[in-house]
Amino acid sequence: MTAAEILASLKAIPDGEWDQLEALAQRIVADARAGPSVLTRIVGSNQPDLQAKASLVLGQLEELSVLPWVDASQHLRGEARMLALARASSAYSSMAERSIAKLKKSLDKREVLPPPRLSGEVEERPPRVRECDAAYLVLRRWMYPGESSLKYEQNRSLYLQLEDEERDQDIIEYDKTGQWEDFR
Amino acid sequence: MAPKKPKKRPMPGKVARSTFGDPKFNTIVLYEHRHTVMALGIQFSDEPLLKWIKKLVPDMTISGDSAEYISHDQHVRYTIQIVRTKQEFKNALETPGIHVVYSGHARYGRGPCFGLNPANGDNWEMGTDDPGFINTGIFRMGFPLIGIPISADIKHHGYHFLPALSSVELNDDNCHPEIPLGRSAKRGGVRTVSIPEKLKEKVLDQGQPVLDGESYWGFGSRDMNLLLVADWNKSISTPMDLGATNIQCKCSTFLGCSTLKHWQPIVRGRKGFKQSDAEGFAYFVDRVSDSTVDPIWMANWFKFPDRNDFESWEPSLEFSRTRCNKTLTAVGAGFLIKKDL
Repeated sequence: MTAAEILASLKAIPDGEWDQLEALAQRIVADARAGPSVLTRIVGSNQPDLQAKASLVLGQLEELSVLPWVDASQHLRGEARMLALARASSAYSSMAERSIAKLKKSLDKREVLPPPRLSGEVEERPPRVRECDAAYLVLRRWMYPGESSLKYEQNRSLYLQLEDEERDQDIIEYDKTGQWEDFR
Repeated sequence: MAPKKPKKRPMPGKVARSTFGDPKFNTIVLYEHRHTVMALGIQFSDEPLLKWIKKLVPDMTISGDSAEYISHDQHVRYTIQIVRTKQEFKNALETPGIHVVYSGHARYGRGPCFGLNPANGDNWEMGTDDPGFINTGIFRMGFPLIGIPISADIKHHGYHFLPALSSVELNDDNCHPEIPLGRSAKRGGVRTVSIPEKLKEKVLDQGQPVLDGESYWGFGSRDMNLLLVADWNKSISTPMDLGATNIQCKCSTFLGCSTLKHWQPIVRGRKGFKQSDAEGFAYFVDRVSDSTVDPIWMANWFKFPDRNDFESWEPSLEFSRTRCNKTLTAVGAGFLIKKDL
């Protein structure tokens, strides 16, 4: 779909029409995956002259190659299968590393973020969150998978109870040691 | 992850209604009936929740505090009943086979709170229908001790309260997880505090100091919190607490601020309300929330597109949760509905 087609479709869909929004998403996904899926079929085929070239192009697709590599692995065996999965994993890690690097750059940004968009009566006041706090918390969720969702939410609340200077100290400590504090 | 598509199965039954000899033939297909009790908490009791759902599901019919929607795709007849008291909420939790939704304040984790009159006063804590307090105030289902902001809640609502005396030993078991037990007093950790003079007259008799030098527990820096006795079992409001409730409903959904942190450990862990293949579903909210999600939660459940009568409710509930969360993320609401952990 072209940018103009996507824009026109979005404008035409009334608010709350989930079925239509999902259908639009499916069309965009189908378009985006058409090329990579041709490549994965070639990688999984018996055309040695094309396999290497298709594999090279898939590698250039970076994050767009993650699912195509996983799909391609289903048609391969042994070493070729492992190679496809390793490349999926590598493309995924490379994408994650880039996001993590961006998040780490935000650890020294003190700008206060707008509060969540809530309406009506809210009993518990949402905590004040700065860009560095948000980055610290996203990094924590991502890089500390051993912490359960519930424990994460508890630690998030305890962290956000702290004064700015104390939060800053915790961020510096994490940046230095890579360790996550239990705030209880 | 998309919910699993339920397996199709033969029609559970058909009932012939033709009279003998009538050349016409008609049948009634037996649809599954799914009943939801929606308990509206204090300050939400007069919200037109059914009308909000109808905006999203125009085919739903409303009659007073009840509503009905028939999903021919699902072969399910949905009904809703609105209730507004503690006793009705407790009765709903004890009713087998139904869905109970609480829509209201979590009272910082103390429990669902009821009252038709939202004016400041005891409807925000113990209740006002003395003796018994069976209709108004908090249905207790929280940790034994919970930190409550003095200015934003205790002073603001002006209710009578039961603070934790400093003779009570604090530990991981009796304290809400957001009470910073390991933090030094200098950093806003737990310490003994005195109650502001103006609030002393609001302390319940059980909370009056009896020992020399006895005071109360509190924490915080700029916003001071006082530890109140809350509890879910054998509480000061028993039998209006979770401990005295035999949960039989098929699904419970707690739509209030941070109910994941406040009530999931109690409902699942301490009370032991377990999920099996087709029973014991429970949904919570992870952070500070508003009530805009309440009608969306029900509407999306009704809109599940596949036939699933007399099957597990899980695929349709998960369909609703997934759609709600996509909407909440898209509008930047800052909270999500969580199934369980």
